[in-house]
Amino acid sequence: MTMSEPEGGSSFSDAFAAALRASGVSLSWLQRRLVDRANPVSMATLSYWRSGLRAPEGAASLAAVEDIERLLDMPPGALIAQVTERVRLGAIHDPRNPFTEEQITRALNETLEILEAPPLDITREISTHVVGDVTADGYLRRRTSRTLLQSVSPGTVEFVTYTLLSAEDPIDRPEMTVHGARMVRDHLHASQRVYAYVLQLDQPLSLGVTTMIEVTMEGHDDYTSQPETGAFVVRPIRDLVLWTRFHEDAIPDWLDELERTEATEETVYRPLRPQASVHQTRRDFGPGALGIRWGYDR
Amino acid sequence: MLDMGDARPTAFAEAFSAAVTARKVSLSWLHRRLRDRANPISVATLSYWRSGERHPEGLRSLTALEDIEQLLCLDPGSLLDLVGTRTRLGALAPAQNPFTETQVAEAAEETLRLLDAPPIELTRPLSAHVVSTVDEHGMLRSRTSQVLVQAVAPFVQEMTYALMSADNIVRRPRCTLRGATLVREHLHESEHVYACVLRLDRPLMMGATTMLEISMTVPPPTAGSLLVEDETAAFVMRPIRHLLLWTRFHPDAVPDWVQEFEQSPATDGLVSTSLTTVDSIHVSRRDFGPGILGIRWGYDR
Repeated sequence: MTMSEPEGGSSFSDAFAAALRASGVSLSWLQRRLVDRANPVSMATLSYWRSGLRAPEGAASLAAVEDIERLLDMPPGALIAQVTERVRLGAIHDPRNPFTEEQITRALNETLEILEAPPLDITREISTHVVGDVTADGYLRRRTSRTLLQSVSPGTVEFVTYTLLSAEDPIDRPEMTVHGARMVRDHLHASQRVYAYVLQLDQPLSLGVTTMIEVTMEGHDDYTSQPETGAFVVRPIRDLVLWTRFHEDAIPDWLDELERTEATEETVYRPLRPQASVHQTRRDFGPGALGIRWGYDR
Repeated sequence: MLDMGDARPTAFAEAFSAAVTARKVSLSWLHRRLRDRANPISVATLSYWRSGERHPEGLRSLTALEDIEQLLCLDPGSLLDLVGTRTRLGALAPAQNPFTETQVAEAAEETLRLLDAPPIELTRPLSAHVVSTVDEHGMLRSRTSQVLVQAVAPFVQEMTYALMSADNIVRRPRCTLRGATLVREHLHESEHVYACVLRLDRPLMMGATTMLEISMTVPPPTAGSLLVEDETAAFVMRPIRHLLLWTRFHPDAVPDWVQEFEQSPATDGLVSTSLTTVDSIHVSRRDFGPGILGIRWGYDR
């Protein structure tokens, strides 16, 4: 870790102190507002930041800096831009790909290379809702994923990579509709077990800044044996909700929840009662994968 | 505290113990899985439950039962049923309507009475994503709420969903639902409150959760009205784990000003903050409420 400038002043502390003076708010007011926004920073730390004795470090601090910009009516990035690359990423966990099947991992790496895709771990998901719709034929035809995404990379994040992996069945290239970003390139691996795409964000993100992305995929081709849906995260997520809705003529005969985290070591399958609407929720989940698979006896 | 009387007091302990044995899992495994699902129950408590020395009581325990049923591959309700109405609601925080303005509070009360609506606080939202779109005239066009809802009453078949605004007019929306059907609705004559009664596709036992999607299409303001600002918001009467509002503006209608507004136990009344105007605005809170969170926007023209 590099130390701050010994003089005790820095461009961050200057900008922060000036914004505080201009807005006329107290540090304790700011501290309470940050607590409300689930970005608690102690009074002492805020005071150190103002005086330049310390600078914000770690993803949690950077998320708080983003809120401070809003609370002090500053343009987005006005303070974040002053946080130099001395920043450590703090208690962010090492990213892990929850799928360990060697073949898939190799296919994933090949796909990312072909795409010249930015690494998966330059952002993290904070809150994600995934909604899947299963049509009368028993297959997932539509999947919408809405994510509150945060940059955890010191540089500006303009492009992000998303992947779709399947251990069991070939993937078809879906039709995609994206909000908050636009698709710039995609690739379906020859094995058909990995599909990846690169999105260009409408608003590039500096470290700690958040944005919303919604991706809707619609499938159209013939499907094979084993339908499944789910989500995986390479860093812990605060709030994950998966909701799968079955057409009334396609309520499965059996349904398994599948879950893989570092704690489970391998994928755990857990039978659930098949119903027209199945939801799974986790808080502070991952790195890991969560999903369902289902089938019919006929 | 309600008494049920007929269920054998040991029925829960027997069923729980049998399920743990059948699945060959340890109580510490169960404890860890519950913690992952934000329903921490100590190993000691689980052990008391298994031996019958204590019963699950209170909302936190009941919430965990739904997860325990899943983790032990039991049918939904098979453990909850055995606890039944003997359970107490425990330390559940009282519900609070964050709208303190007399005019809105009275309109809400009148609307719920006219609708013969169940109290809003029979359920609580745990996680909600609210996506709004704004049309080329700068007016709210649609509002879709995806919400994870939990019953905090012994049995919930119908629930009430409401929109309120203290400062703006609520226009009667056209609703499309997943997870429930609309049985009746009412827009209060003050145009500050709209409420609808929903019948859930599956009734909920206390502590059980379901997903709902409530999509509303909002008509444009009637010709001649002088609306130059609009808003979209959400309110919760009990704390919610995660609340996210995402508003997408038509590219020709990026507003001249946007304000986030918030009222919660942590704020001193209603607090407004100016946001930068861009075509996509999101605000999010963790462990928020009871309170109101929303954005308001307008044009200088």
